[in-house]
Amino acid sequence: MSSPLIRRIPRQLVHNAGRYLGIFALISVSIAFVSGFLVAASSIERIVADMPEDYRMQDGQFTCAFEAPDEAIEAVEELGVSVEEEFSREAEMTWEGASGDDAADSADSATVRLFKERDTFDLASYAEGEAPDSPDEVALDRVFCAHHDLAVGDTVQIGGSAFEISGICTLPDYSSLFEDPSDFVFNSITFTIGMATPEGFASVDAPLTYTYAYRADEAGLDRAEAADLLEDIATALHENRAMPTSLMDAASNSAISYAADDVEGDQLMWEVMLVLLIVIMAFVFVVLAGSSIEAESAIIGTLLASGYRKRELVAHYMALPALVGILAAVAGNLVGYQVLYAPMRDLYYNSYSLPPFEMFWNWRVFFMCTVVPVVLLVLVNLVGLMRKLRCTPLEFLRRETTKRSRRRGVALPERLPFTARFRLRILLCNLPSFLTLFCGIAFASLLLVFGLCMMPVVDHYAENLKSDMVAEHQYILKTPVEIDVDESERVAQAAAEKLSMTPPGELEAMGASELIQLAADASRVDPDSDVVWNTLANSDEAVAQAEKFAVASLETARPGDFGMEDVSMYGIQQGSAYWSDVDTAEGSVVVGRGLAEKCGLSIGGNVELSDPLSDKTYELRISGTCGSASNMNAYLPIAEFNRLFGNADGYFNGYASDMPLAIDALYVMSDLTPDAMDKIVAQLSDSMGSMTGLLVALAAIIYVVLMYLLTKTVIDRSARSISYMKVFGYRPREVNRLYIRSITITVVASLLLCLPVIVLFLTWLVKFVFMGYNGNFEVVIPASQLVLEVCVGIVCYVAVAFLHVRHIRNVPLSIALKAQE
Amino acid sequence: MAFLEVTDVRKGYGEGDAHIEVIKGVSTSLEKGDFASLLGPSGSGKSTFLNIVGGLEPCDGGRVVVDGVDITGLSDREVGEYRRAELGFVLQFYNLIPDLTVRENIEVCAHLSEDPLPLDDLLRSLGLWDQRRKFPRQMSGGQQQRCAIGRALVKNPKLLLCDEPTGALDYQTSLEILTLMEEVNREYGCTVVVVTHNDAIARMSNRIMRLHDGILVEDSVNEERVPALSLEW
Repeated sequence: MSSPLIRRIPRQLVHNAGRYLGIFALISVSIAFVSGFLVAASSIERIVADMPEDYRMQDGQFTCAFEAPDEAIEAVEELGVSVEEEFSREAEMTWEGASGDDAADSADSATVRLFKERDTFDLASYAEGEAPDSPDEVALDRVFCAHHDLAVGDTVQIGGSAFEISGICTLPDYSSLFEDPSDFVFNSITFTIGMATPEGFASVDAPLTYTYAYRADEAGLDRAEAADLLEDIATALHENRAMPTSLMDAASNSAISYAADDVEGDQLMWEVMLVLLIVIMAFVFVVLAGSSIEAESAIIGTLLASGYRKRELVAHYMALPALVGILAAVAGNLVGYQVLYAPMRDLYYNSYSLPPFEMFWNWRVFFMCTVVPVVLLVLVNLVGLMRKLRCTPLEFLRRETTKRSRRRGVALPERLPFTARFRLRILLCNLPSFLTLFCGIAFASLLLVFGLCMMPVVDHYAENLKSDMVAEHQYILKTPVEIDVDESERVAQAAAEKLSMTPPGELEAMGASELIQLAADASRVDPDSDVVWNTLANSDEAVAQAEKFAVASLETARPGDFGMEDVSMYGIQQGSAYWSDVDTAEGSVVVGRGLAEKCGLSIGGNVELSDPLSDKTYELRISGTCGSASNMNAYLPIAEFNRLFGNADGYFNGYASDMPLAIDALYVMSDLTPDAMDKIVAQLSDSMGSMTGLLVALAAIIYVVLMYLLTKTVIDRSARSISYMKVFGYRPREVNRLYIRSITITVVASLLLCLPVIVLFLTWLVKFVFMGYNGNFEVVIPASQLVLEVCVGIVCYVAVAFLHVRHIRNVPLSIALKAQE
Repeated sequence: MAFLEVTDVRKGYGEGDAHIEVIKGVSTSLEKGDFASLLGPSGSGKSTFLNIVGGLEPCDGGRVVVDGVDITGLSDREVGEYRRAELGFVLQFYNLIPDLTVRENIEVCAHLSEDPLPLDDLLRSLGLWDQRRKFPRQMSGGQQQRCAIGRALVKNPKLLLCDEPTGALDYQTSLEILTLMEEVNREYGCTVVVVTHNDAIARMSNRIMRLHDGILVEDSVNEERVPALSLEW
């Protein structure tokens, strides 16, 4: 026979419907969000994990300055890999009829990286339409098209030719649209990939990029094996004069690995958030149960005296939290799996170009969103109830269950005004409620500040990056290109290029005089020189202000077990006009402030840098720091740079210039401009905007529910005193001043006192979360956002206080007149 | 052997100079079916004595044997089981569960017994049949105390301990409750101990005990027991 006490449960649920609905709503909404997110994220993880097989994704790729000789490809294939050409052409793409109202959509041009249709590696998956079938058709990336409202059938201009969009697709090697794998963020707003037929590909007038993808014959290489393979490939290419300009395995390619890393990292954050929220809600239950136990103290004493066991009473008081927890978990999971998975999926699918979504059942998600919340709720309640019910039956009968009477008995200075002492006593008597309220407010505030500060942090990061941009243009070259050349040198270089790049058949078709002229012009080019002459003309002014530099990609170890940080090592001119604040000296290196902060480097100490493409490591003494907190570069005098890397004297591979330079596109790897930073802000705003809204909404719900539940407990406990006050002749406003203002002071104090804790915790959290990513994120929490956070908290509280004023007005006088048992 | 044997029970509170002895070597015994009144002024130790017999607090010395079991030697858990099996408590304040009906409040304790009294019969004999679906707040103090008595009785306890059961009631209602207890004692044969400071109630008991400053100053058999309904004060 079940205990008749069980019949109280539905009545208590109805009687305290507001209270339990609030808790149910908060837990179920949280679980719905988290389960929706986790099921979407875990499904995406699986989709990503299946991509290598399903879409025959590459294990790595290398790009050469020129088409790799056959013997180089054969040498690579002898290492146990298959190699496929994935040549691309990058061209400007324009279109008409772009619509939409956000900033991103206002752009009607973008860079498209066009590939030939693939049938061996890195196969495309089509969300809409189909692969291009004729030379004037193109398939474009899904995310890019979604951003710009481009659809199948629309027409775009690529390199001056019109193409009709035949399909909306995704490529496994571009699940994140990184224009350059070294970029900090992907760019799905002004960059896209495209697929065309071989004829369509050839029709685009843009230089070729000679990229090759490889797949190991042996599947499932681990990271070390992949790195060894990469090293062997690098050696094979160098030995066969293939001139690789970049070489990376899939794990190092942000365009491939970024989405997977992001999905994986975010899940932990959501799980931690859920656990924290459930623990806080469990404490709310403990406070509520404690309040009930105090109110029912004599009943409990009578039941215990009649022979009830404590565990039966614990089970009774546990029933409601457990029931609400289980119902909330079930409802939350249902909503999460049926509804919220879609917006959560879109958090990723709006940013990443992944194959069509498919939901997969995941036991871990079920465990995290059902078992863990219920078990946590039950455990915290169990401990709380056992503490509350540890009194003897007699103590319950005498209502001596808490230490409140002792706190009530604390002597307060008489010089304090009566109202101050009264409010202090309310605070002391309700300390557990107010402590739980403080924790809840701190948690909600953390979410809110996190949400509100996302964009300021990104803006600050972009500002830092911008401030580290020393010139309007930083051209990175594939090979040293001399721009200070005269007309005859330009002609000579152009002739040499034409001779080397024109297929033999076409050369034979040329007239003899033309060939002789070409050969004569080309003969002026020194074949042994590492420097080529620019074929395009620049003004004397532009040439004069441009400054040569050299740059190499290195790595250094992050503190702890966080892997390696990418470092750009610059070789700059002594007395550089562009890096004027970088005081380089012989025999030492200057490091960016961001690099120094993140990796714990200090002036006078050493930094160990390694080359990921070779096994070489370099240990350099640090003579200074420079730049912003996001500067992850290191600087050497260019002569020392060249000595260190064994380059020829006078080697360089970049120009810093405030004026645009005309450089033969064949030799330009990238042109970094301050506009690129704006792209970062636009992309991050786009990715994080919806997340900010979610966090603000969730924080507001938590504020209202927690403030209402916990402060109502205080008023409910004080109902008799409030009734007495009314009997004594206090006006409602005076009663409010005593009770509501005590609560108001506590709420406002909690909102203010938790700020330093939040700032410290958030600083640590951001540092910890981003430690594994390249770059140094500096947490910037503008005072305005903190003020806004407090204001949101106060606005939520005002709504709650309004309900309390009504509640106090409705406390009947009869309570005071009833005999107190 | 008597049903309840109390031998040289002592109980004090506080330590050192603040130590006060509330029960000073009380010895007495009751037979099964006795209706005993425990009288005394406030602070005489009568509630403490009742609590010790009920296993709600331990004594500092002496023995309390109920139906052959020495409860002073039991662990906390065993004392709990003793209360569960043997005892019914009626207190001055009814301590009914507000969100359970009369019937359900009584069922709360029926649940503890393997052989509870028939609930409907009990409700009728308590005069609560018509009120059985009401909640405590919908009833008078007398009706609530009837319900509390029903809750104590439904387990069919061997010993019913009542601490000022009419303390919060008016005269007429007190008579009704005392009559009810009289019937319970007679019909169900359980031993009843009523703690009261009202001397008039002693006249309906067959045993009268009086405590003064922790000492049992009177322990007598009442040969002139009168029906509860004839009591006046």
